[in-house]
Amino acid sequence: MDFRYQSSAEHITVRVEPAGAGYTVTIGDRVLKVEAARWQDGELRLSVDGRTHAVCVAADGPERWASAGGRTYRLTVPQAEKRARRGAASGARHDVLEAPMPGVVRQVLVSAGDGVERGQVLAVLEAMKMEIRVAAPHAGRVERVAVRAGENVQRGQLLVDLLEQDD
Amino acid sequence: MKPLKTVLIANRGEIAVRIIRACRELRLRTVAVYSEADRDALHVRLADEAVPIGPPPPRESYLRADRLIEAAREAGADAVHPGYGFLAENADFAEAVTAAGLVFVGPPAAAIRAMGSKTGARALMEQAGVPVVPGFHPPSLPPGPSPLGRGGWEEAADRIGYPVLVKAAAGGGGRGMRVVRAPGALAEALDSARREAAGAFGDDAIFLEKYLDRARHIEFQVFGDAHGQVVHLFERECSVQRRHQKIVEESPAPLLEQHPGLREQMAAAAVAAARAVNYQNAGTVEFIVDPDTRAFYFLEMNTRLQVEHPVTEAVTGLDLVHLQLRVAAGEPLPFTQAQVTARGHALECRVCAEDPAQDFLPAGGPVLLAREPHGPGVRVDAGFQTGDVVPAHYDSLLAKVIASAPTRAEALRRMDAALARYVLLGLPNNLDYLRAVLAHPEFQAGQATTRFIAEHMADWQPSTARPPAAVLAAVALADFLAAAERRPAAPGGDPSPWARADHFRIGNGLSLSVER
Repeated sequence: MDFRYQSSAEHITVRVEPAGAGYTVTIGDRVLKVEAARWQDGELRLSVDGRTHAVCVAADGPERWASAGGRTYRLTVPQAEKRARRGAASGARHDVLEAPMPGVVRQVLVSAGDGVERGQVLAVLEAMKMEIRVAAPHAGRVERVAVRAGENVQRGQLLVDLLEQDD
Repeated sequence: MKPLKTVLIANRGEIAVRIIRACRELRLRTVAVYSEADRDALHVRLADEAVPIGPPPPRESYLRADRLIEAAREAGADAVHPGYGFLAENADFAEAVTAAGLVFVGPPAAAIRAMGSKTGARALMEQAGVPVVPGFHPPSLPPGPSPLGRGGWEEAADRIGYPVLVKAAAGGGGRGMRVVRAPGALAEALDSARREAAGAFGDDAIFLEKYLDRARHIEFQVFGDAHGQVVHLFERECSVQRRHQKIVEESPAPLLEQHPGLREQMAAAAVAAARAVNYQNAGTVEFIVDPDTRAFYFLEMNTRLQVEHPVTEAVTGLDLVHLQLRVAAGEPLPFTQAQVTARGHALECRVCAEDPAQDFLPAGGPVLLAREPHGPGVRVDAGFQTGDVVPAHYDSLLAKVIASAPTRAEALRRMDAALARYVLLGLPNNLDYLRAVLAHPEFQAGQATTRFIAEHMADWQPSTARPPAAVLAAVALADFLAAAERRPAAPGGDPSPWARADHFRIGNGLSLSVER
C-alpha cells in the first residue's frame, strides 16, 4: 500500500508491504526491513533494519505528527485542490487572503475596486487577545471584500480577494 | 486570622491548575469557573466543583466580575484567587470581592489602584526615592478615535524622545504595547494599542514611556503580609522577549551576579516601592537596567502573582501560592528577610501554541499527544493533558518548563534536555525555537538584552529537513495498521483510516496482531 505525504514543500511516497513477520517499507530507492512493531501509549516502537526506534505518532484528519530524537515532524496527506485559481487578464494573479485562525473582524479598511500598495493593511482581526493586521502581499486592486466589521470568522475563511496589478 | 475553607479560582489554563493543586495541598476546597470553550478543560476536571460563567470571549466570561462573584456565592466559596491576567489587577474587582464578604487572595484594592495608575505609581516612586523611566501619563482620555492632538501625545513623544513605547495602563503581558520609532507612526500605534488593550483588559487607557532599546529587564519578587512585614524574594531576569512578551526567565540575573552591590540597591528599591503602597501578598517590582551604566529605573509594579513565579520558587524553595493563601487568611509571613536564601540557578521557558513557520501566529487545536519531561530539577506547569483541545480565544501559553541546577551552565543543559524530551503533538509550538534561543552564544554567556530576539532570532526558521526514514516508516506503518484494522469497512463508516469514536487518540485499542 502506498501512502503519500507532504513535508514542507516536498512530496514523499512511502510503500508498506507485509513481509513475513514484519514489513518492507520503501521510500524512494531505500528499502527498509521493519519488524517488531508495537504500540504503547501513542508511541510506535519498531525495529528498522535491525535498529530500534520509538516514534510518537498522532493524526488529526489529514495532519500527521511525529516525534523522535527530540524533534517534531509535521506531515500532511495531500487533499484534492479545493479552489481553482480563477483565470484573469494575462500576467495577473489572484491572491485570496484568508483568516489565519478563528477570530473577529475588527476593521475592514478597503472596498472593492480600491488600489492598494504592498504591505498596506486591508483588515484588522482580533484573535487570542491580539490584533492581527492582514496586509496586502503585493500591490494590486481589491476584487472583493468578503467580510465586514464585527463578523466572526473561521480559520481559512476568505477575507479579501486581491488582484495583482500587472505593471 | 480567618482560615479559608473554599477558594474560587477566577482563571483558567495552567495557572488555574497550579492554584487548584496548591489549594488541594492545603486541604482547601476548590471551585473552578469555565467559559463554554473550557467546559472540558483540565482545570475544570481537577476542581472539586465547577461553575459555568458564559460564552468563550473573555469579556463575556472571565472578565465578568458579577458572574464570578455570583459563582463564588453559589458554590459557598469564602475566597477568590484571581490568578494572573483577566481581573487580577482590577481594583474594582478586588473591592467587589471584599464587599461581597469574600477574601481576595491578593493585595488590598488600594494597593492595586495605587500601582495600577501608572501615573500615580510613578509619583509615589519619585517620592520614595526610586528612579523612574521618563514618560507621559495623561489623565484618562475621552473615548473615541485617534487621541492624537488631544492632550498632546505628539508633543509628549517629542519631549521624551524617540523611540517611545505605547503601553496599556490596565495590564501587561505585552498586550497593548507598540514601539514607535518615528512621529509618523505614532497615531496608528496609539489607536492599535488602545484596541488591543480594550480587548485584553477591558480598559483602553494607554500611556507613553521612553523606550530603552537595549536593556536588561530585571524584576524583584516581593511579599507583604497584614502585619506590616514586606520582604523581597530576590530577582528574576526576563530580558528575552519577543514583541514584549517574555519567553525565557531566570534567576539569579547574570548581571547582578557580577554586581552584587547593584542587587542590594535594587532589592531595597523594590521593598521601598511595596511599602509605599502598604503592599500585602505577592507582587513584583519591575525595573529596566541600562547594561552599560547599570542605572536602573522603576518600570512598574505588578500587583499579582506572575507567570514566571516558579523561577523564584526553584531558587528559594518557597511555594508562593501557599504563601498567598496563608497571607490572605491573615497569617504572618513565616520567615524574616534574613531567613530568605537563594541557591543555585533556575530557568523557565514558556511553551506557546504558536506557529514559528507562520510568524508565530497563535494556533488553537487538539493536543493529540503531550508527554512532559520530568526528572531532578525539571518541573512542568501545563494547563492541558493529552486529548484536550486548546481553544483559540485566550492567550497562547500552553505550559512552562522550569529547570534548576546548582550552576547556570548545568541549568541550561538540563533545560535543553527537558525541552528535547517534551513531546507535544497536534499543535504548532515554539519548543524548537526555545532551544535555539538557549543555544545562542549571547544567551549562553548571560548577556542577552531586550534586543536579543530582534537582533539574533529574527531570521530563525524551523527546520524543513525531510523526516528521517525511521520516522516516515513509522507514520506510514501507523496509517497502514489503521487501514488494516478498518478492513472490512464498517457500513457507512468514515473513510478516513484514523476515524474512530475517540478520534484524537491512536494506538489505544489498535490490536497487537501486528506481530504476525
